[in-house]
Amino acid sequence: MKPVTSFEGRLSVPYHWHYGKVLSEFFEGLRNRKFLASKCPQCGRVSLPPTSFCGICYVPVSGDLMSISTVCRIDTFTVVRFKYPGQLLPPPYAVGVLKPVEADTRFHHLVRSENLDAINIGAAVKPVWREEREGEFFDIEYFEPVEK
Amino acid sequence: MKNRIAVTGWHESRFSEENAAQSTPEMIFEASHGALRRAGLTREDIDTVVVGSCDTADGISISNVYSVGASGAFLKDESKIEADGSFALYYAVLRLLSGSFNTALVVSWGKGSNFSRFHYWTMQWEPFYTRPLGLSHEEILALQARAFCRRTGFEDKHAEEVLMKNLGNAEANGNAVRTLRGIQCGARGEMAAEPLRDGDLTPRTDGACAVVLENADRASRKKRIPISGFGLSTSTYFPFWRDLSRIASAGEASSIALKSAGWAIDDVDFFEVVERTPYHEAMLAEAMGVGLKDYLGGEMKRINLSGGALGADPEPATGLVRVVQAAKIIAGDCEKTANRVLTLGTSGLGYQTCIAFALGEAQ
Amino acid sequence: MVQTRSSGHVAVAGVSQVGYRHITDLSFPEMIFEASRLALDDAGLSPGDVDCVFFGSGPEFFVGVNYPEMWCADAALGPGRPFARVHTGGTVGMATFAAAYYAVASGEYKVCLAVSGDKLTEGSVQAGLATVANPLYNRRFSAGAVGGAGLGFREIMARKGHTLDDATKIAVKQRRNALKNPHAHLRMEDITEEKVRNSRVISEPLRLLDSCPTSDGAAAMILVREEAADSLGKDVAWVRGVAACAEDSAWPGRDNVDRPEALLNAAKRAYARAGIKNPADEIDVFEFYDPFSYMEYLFLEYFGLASSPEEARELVHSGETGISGSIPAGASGGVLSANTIGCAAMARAVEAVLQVTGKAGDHQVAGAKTSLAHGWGGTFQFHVVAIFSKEKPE
Repeated sequence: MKPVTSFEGRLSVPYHWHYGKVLSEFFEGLRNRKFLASKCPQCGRVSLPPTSFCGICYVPVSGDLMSISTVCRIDTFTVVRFKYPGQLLPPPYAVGVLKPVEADTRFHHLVRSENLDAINIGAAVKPVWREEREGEFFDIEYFEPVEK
Repeated sequence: MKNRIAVTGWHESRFSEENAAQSTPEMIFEASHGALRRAGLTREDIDTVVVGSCDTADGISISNVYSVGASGAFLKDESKIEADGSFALYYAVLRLLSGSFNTALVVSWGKGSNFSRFHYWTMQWEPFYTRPLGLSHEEILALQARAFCRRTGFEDKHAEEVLMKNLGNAEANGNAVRTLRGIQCGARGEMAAEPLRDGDLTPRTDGACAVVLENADRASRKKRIPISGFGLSTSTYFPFWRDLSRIASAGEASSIALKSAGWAIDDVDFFEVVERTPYHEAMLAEAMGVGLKDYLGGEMKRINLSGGALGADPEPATGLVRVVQAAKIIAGDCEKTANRVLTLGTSGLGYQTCIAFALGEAQ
Repeated sequence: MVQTRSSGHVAVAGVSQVGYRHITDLSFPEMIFEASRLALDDAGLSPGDVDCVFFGSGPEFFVGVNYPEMWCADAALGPGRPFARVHTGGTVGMATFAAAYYAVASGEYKVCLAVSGDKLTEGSVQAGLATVANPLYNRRFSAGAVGGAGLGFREIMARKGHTLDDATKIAVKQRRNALKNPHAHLRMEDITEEKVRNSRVISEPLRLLDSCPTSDGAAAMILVREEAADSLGKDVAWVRGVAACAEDSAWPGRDNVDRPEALLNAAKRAYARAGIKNPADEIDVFEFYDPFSYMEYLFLEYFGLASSPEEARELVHSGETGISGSIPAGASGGVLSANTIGCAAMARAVEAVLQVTGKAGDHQVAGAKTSLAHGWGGTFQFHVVAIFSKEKPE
């Protein structure tokens, strides 16, 4: 008989997260294929996803969100080649840190291209939208290089 | 610690059972920004930020990753205590007493509508032999309540009086999510875990709160509320190994706080405690040395003027909310004012660890 | 930030490390107990001497228990004492040490235990780290810490000119240092540059041997007030300066490569508190938080030890960051050789203490009088730095 040393367990914890008004509008925007960004009234920085306050100037950010270009620049990227639980796709796949050309912040998203050489630091990419959009970040299926 | 540290600002975000209008960082910003305003300070004046929160509640690993901007901690010496917010206050007080910092912002939050309270508590069981039993925290609270009743003669009708008293007090607290007006008198709901009824359990609450601390000499020119003493104590992990009819950690924590403030129990005008059921308010009153007389048919005037956790329980921020309520009482923001308030916060299953603060001038 | 009041100096009187390995013979609380007990023994103190306890561990999802400190209270001298858990991600070991430091410096307590640890092989580390990402938008694209390191490494290569070959040098150096440290987890007797170059790419351009292992372990430190340190009559390490700094995970203009503000500030503040003017000359040993090989180059630059990326490369290539070099970095093998997350940063502080008390054994840096320990966490946004010395500060 096998000695008794350990046992298998599993955790699954449900959550229900609220976006708040600004992120709700951001996701509504994605449903309409738009990037809605916020602008700090003090330092003028443009954030995407938008925020309702500026953590640096420490002031509330109010007013309407502004629609900006959906074109982004690849600041850096990696090809994930290892497996881990809860992974979005089977590896390998590319993840980029993307900076919208009209915003000052960056975010992560998937980057795909038939031509892997087209994925490069500094390359321009644009979102590939899903047909059925639910108002979530994954309404963008992935980003692909902008053809020159 | 004779009047070395003072509370100079405090603020609560708008509490509700489900705040669908604000994300967690937005609640944190509202509380932190408000506390600074009340203290007459800006973010630049703050030397250190300590947050009290819980990854499991937030559903985010290292959840302060996303609170840095909201809590005013950008480029500050920041740290996080994973417990009730009053434990973050404790760490901030130690930081100020060390002489390395003059001002601190302490922030805590809980968005009860975002997470499963059942999982939050049951995940506190060790996985080997208590978790498989599927015990909820309510059952532990019920076992404590029953043992307490057996020993003291406290009864169901007394529990109802405590609940009605707190929900009545909650009427005057604009941030309570449950008040007497909102429920039918006597309707405590179905039995949850005997002797506890649904209404004896605290309401799910979304809320954030923040407190500004300053070194007393720096704060001397303005309205300030000294922290004259504090005390913490911890019990053994398994509730079954403790005397279920008593909350020893609360008694030890409050007596250390009183001693460091130089107060006797009768010097305290009011108490603000985290009572997870009406029974537990009586248990805490007994443990702290207030006595049970008022709770066995007497008038309960000294504890939870704010309505307590039965009025609003944004766990794990509830202990820091007690400190905010105490500050309000001393500052004259409430109907009743007083000079000295003792607060009690807790973490862990069945009050495993407790922390007390003596707010008001030291003796 | 003005120093208004000093409550006397603080010393580290005892340290311990349990692990680092895949620990199957101790449960999580047993491991915490072992670390606490060994640190007390090392200090020559008994449990009754301890006035308060700070506990550290990583995200709850690692251990799978919410508020794991409560489960470990009995193992960590919690009952009857002030007891609280610090949790700041990767910095947690240093942040827990810092809490114990402030507790003693406050004048409220004479002896404080700081104990920190995690068992990473029992839960799901990458799931725990992937949930660091904001659930509201970017969690599903996250690839945990390894994916983040791949992204970071590529950007650093592009902007600083460091190459895969430069990273290889560090990977080999740290794995050789690890062979001298009995607590190191990853031990590769036959490590060569070629082995690093040929190791599997896990998140481009990061290779397996550029990365740390997943380890179980705990560490503990006993911090004491000056008079208690003096009465112990043993070699202690004096805490010369502690500082931390945080920045937002994402903010306009954040630049981890050219201006990691939190790291720069934490280093500057720690130097100021310790009265260090020229770190390369005044500090003898550096224990950086280096879970990935390429990071040593950044640390050399941002801790003020190299004035440019070229100079950082020169220092490494000429062996100056080796155990017998002029700027010994990671003599223990670093986080690259053992990563528990829960005490990886405390291990840096423990190693820094061992070095100035002359107890580092085979990886002892000769004549070390002053040492620096560093931890980082979150998305490279939290940094804690501490400086220790053999001599009591003025």
